[in-house]
Amino acid sequence: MLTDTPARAETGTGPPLKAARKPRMPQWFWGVLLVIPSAVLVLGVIAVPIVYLARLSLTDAHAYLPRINDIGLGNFANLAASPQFWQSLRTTLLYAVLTVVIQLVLGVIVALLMHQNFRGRGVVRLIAIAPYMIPAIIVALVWRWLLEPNNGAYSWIVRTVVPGADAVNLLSPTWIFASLVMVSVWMYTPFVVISVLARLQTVDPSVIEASTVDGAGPWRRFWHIILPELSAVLLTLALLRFMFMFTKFDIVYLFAGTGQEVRTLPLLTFQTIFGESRLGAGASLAMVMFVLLVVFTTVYLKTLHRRSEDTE
Amino acid sequence: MRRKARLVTTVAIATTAALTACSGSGTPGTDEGDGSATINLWHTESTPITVEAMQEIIDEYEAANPGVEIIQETVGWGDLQVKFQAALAAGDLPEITHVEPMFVRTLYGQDLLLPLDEVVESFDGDYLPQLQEMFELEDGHTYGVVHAWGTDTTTYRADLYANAPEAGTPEDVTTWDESIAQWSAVAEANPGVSPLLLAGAAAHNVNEEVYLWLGSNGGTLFDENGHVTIDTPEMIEVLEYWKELKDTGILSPQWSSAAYADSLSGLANGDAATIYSFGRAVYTFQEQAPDLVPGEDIRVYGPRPIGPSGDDWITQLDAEPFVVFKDSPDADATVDFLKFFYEHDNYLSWIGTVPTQLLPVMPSMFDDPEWQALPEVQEWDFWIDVQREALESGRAHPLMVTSADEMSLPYLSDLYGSAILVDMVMEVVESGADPAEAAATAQQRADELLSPQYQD
Repeated sequence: MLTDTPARAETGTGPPLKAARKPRMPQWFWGVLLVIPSAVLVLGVIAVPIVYLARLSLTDAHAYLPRINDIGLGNFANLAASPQFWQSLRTTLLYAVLTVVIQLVLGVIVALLMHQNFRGRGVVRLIAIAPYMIPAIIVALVWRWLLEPNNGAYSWIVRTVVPGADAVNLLSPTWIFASLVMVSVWMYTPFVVISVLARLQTVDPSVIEASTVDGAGPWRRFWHIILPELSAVLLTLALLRFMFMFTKFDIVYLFAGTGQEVRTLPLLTFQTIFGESRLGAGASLAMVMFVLLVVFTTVYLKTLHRRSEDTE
Repeated sequence: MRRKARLVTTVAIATTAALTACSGSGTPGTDEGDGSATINLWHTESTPITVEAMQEIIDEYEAANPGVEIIQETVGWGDLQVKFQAALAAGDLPEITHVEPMFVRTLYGQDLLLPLDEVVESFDGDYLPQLQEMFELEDGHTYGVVHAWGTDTTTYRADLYANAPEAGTPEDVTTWDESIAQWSAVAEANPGVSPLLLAGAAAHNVNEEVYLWLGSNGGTLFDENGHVTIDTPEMIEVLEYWKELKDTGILSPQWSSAAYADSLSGLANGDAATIYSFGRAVYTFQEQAPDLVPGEDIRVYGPRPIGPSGDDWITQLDAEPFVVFKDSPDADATVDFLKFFYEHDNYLSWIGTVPTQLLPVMPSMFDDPEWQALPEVQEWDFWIDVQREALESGRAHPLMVTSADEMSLPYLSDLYGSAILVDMVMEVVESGADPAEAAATAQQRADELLSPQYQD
């Protein structure tokens, strides 16, 4: 072994060391050296883009123009005065809150059903989580086809059930937000189902049995035993899903397009940068989203920390 | 210990070297000085047989020019701007690409384009002057060469119009008022059929309709100083007309979610009596409605109805040019390839894949027996004639251009890429907003967007 420790040298228990030997590098040096590649990587892919984004948000940079003038907080002031920004923020919050609440409620119900013993449970579970495994582009195209007002399955059902009736155009500006919420819930609820189901399987069955013997009905068992057991995972899911839905771009863009009814902050950012070519203004929108996500993440981490302290 | 130190140092150096290597070294297309070159070619003609035709041209060129490799990449029409902008930011532009006509002036302004006079000269004067003039810029050089062209036409089901014989056909209509009367009669005679289906799902299609209706109502999107003008009486009349079409049931209730392809299917299936389309639509009609007789059941007409403030109509000229980036490492090979592309047999194989929309840029080719022998040309010649008449009339303008002068404005693409016009239309037509208020809001947004780029 190559471990000539200072302690050994001081005690003099080993053979005498050569006086001319070069001084060795301290232990921290090797630690730092080994950390450098990872640090460079982290800085390169996380810190540098964020700093660049922040820098860009203080300019009037344009995709096709050579100008890049510092305008201070001008982009942020424009955002604050822009009705389009506030409408987009409202749309984003409404989309995130609605989809998360419905996902959680449906997810718990489906997970409870999946937790029962019945023939073919494995297959049903597989089908129940299938939507989460389908690529967003497929989900968007299939749902657009299903809801297509002339020849889609939805309009066929309406015409079959109520002959002569005109099916409401669920892809029109009036209905597209509701349709988007429905498709998003369909696609992402399985994530909640899987998480809740995993937690349900760790609930001690003897507690349920004891409460049943004591006369508790299904509702009381759910409300007083199962729900408290699920509360930690539901809180985590609520925060995580909110962050995911708040920044959701793919299904919104692919299914619903860029109309102002569904123009969430990620879409507005995309529109500003790639449609209007205003890199600086787009960067300021991205910075706003970044700050909001930092706030959400902080809440999430603090909640997790508090939970773990309570558990201990 | 020394071995360990060496090992650690070696790992650190190797990691740094690997990271450096991953950061990119050089660009594709670099001429190594030995005659070799890699040319990246983007185009928007994604029809499989058109892609195949381009590949055959490329294969022939590569065989004749050892060391030159040409990589074609088809880009979805709606994705070109996003992809292009990302490549520009990354400094990774292709050697050759199709662009929307409005981008040529923008890119020229940034000194990014290579003059393509040599390519045009290779036509020996056999190049439609309307197309050449579009991309002859201030310095007298040509910076874009159109690969093919077509115009937007009023496309209608004559068999459905025939059910309302007193209403006539689109050829009999000149004004917006007349069009409303005619379409109302068509609706009455054909229950369940929408007289008009516009494609409104994509922002692009709504932008198209706005500038075409506006131009056909005597309006322009920009004034003589190049300033955006939206809250004009002409635009407000467009919005009122659009709203009336919707409120009277003339415009299909599905229009706002209808993609362009849906509008073609709508006409083929008889869900709609009238659409606005390009010549590629013939393939949808042949596939989905093979019993309809071209020229009898399906007919086309060049002019649109003219608004109360207008004297004449305009239509869209679809004429995307090839442009070459001047920083391309092997511009000579790039220009040489374009000259090869436009050689008779090669070019014919390209436009021959969709001859009703990819009309030739060389006027002589219209008389070419090989071109005339193409089955689509023989069957749909009336559609080609209508497009040629539209080009000859001088009323066919590229996207977002309501008058020829506007081609020189470098910020057309900014307005096109914004959602300003689309929001305005949807607010009025779908949400019932007041046209004047919606136009005023759009004007304010457009001013904020474009005024930093005004020259005065």
